[in-house]
Amino acid sequence: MEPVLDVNNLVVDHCRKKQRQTIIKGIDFKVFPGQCLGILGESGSGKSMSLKAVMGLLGTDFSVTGEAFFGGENLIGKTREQLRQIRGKRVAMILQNPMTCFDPLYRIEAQLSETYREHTKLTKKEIYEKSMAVLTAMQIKNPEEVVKKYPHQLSGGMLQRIMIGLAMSMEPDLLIADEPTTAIDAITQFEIMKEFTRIKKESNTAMIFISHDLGVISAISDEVLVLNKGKMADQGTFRQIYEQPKDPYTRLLVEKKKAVMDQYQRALKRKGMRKE
Amino acid sequence: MWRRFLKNKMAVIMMAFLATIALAGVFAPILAPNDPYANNILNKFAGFSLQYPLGTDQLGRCILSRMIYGIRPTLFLSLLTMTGTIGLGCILGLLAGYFRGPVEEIIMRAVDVMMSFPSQIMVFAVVALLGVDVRNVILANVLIKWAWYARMIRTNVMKYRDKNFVLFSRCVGSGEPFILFRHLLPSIASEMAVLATLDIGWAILNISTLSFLGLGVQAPIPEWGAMLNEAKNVMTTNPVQMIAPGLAIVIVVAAFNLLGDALRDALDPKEVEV
Amino acid sequence: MIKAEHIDVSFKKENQTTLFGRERHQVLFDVSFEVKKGQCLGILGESGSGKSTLGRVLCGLLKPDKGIVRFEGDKKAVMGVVFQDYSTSANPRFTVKSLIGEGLMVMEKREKKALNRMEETNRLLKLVGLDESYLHRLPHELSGGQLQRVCIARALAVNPEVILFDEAISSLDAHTQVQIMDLLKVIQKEKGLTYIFITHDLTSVTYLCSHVLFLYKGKAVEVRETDTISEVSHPYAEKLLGAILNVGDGNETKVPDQAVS
Repeated sequence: MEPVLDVNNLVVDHCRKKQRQTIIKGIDFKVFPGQCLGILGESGSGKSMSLKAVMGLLGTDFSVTGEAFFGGENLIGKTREQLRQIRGKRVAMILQNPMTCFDPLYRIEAQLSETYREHTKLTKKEIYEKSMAVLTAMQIKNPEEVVKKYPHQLSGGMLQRIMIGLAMSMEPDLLIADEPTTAIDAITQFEIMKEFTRIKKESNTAMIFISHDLGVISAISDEVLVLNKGKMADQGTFRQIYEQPKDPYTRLLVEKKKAVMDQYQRALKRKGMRKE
Repeated sequence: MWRRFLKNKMAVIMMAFLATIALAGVFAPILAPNDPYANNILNKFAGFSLQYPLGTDQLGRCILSRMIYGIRPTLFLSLLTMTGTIGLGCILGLLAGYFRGPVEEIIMRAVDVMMSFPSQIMVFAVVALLGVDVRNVILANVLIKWAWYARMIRTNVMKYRDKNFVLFSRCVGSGEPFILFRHLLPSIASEMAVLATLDIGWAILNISTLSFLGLGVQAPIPEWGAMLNEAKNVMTTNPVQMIAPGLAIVIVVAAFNLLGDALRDALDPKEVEV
Repeated sequence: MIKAEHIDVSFKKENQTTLFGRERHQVLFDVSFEVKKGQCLGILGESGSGKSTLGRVLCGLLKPDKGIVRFEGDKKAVMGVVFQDYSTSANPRFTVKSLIGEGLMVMEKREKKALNRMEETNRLLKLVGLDESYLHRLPHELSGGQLQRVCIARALAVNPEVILFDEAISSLDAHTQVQIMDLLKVIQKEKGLTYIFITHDLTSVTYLCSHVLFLYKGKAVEVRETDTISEVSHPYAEKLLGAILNVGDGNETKVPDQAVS
């Protein structure tokens, strides 16, 4: 099977005032259709930056080298216009903090139709119907009311679901989710992870899921890549990473998470036999 | 903090420039080639010469000497005005912003009242009431302008008041003086620096305007605005007489503004020079 | 140690419907609970649940409309606070030394004794896992974890009986959170402190706290010991327990759609 995205030796430098700093120090990964690659790392590890680099979303003071083969073409080196056409249609991105991803001045329906008008040739009526279908598929009740609302009138969870629906409705080859549940409460996070899992099962889209949370990564990833300070620390299935971490950094992450989850399990199992 | 200031080239240049001007004013008797008051009608509108580097005005007085002596009222009076205005505005703004409640209400209503008067007209009115004297000009400026600064400072204080480090102090009981002087005052310092330098610029223009209108510094005391007043009649015959003070005002006010910019950057502890 | 009784808090609404309207938006409804000495109460709620407001009421920074916060011996307990947003928790102009120094100053004032500041500061730094090299650093020169440790040291400097943590570890990386929680456990035992730990993360509560209070839409819907967490009865608490994503155990393709595996 051909990978949807094949990244080799990705290096990202930041140049400012004649000082050059290497942020991503050569990473490789592949994503296959119908599979999910989880990228685990903390803030500063470069997990978001590496995908932004591949998608051409970094500013001009960054220099990106390496190869990122998507559909047979190397994305690195393409012009901004070429990348812009790929983004949104063949590659969809879902970002952190959904409240900031929508323009607060426009209603939801305007923002949905913006994407459709750009990448498809649907008529206004068709766009409306498609929006309705998308929202219903995301388990949003009363979609006719929801589309007429402004972003600040909706909760973070609902906005994120709209984002996911919009992204998937374009039927992209690759879906990139960058910490989509980080700004969201636990219960809604659970619902959104269910959506992602359902999407994974039902479509053949390849997914890249970026997070710092082992729990979230474990819920959805087939393969996991652990990044630490711009370098690859570990790679393998989630099980391998969790049970036999090779890199000391990964071991630290896993150890700590295990400690917390074990304690949680223990608390659950006790039935108040200890009196205060 | 001073190290950062010294690294900012613009700040250093402006500071040096303004310091030079100030020193020139202080050492005017030594630097000025002639007595600024000595008139010599026969020598009026003279051209550039060694004795009169910028020529003479309509009364035969040396323009350059008058310019140098003119630094004193222009610069120093403005500094005095600015100190009074910002000082008063700062204290009241700090009190209003931190203590809220009735204190804030009283102060802010006073601010509202003062701000409802058109400032320039009020300054004229006060000067007219109290008499034409430079001290009254300063008083009028301070009385009118403090309100504007009080409001700005209050907004800034309110911004910092709810930051976590102030909340911590309030929670553990660090005491009001500590909070006001060690937390709030330094936090608003960079905004205040910009306000202060802008205000000097404004004060210079104000004093010069009043002098130009004959309400400020009186003849024959050399002051840039007053010189402009005298020069307006002879604008075409002896342009230097007008250009010199006019340009001087522009340059000094601009220098203060640039200094304000640089000060604001220097006082921000997060500004890192890479 | 601390008893909150029938706390009601409301704020004046920004958008009033009438000109001089006095409509208020109620944030906390009749919240009551008790924390005994040496315990660690986790206040669990989401953004909008009112947990930060409750924290402020406990600190004394906010007066409730109704209700009262009582302390043992009827004297206000000495309380330290550690906040979430560490970037604004420290005056950006203060060095680490000054930050902790402020706490020491408060203690000196209260207990009317002079201290060897240098010695005390170093002792506190060591307690939180840092060393003297940090003394002259400014907040923006420290990492999140380091700065939060300094804030903990500062809270300890006032020699408190109770420390309130308002989402103090939520902005830190996952493994740093655990490291700090381990540190807090040690300190609590050593100094016999009482903790109130406000958070939105259930697993932090089970890791660190002895008791938990579920705060939902301004109401304390469930209070119990963390040991008995499986017995929660309120639907919100149940839902929260069901939403914990379990790690490992062949979770690769399984959808965690029930309470516990």
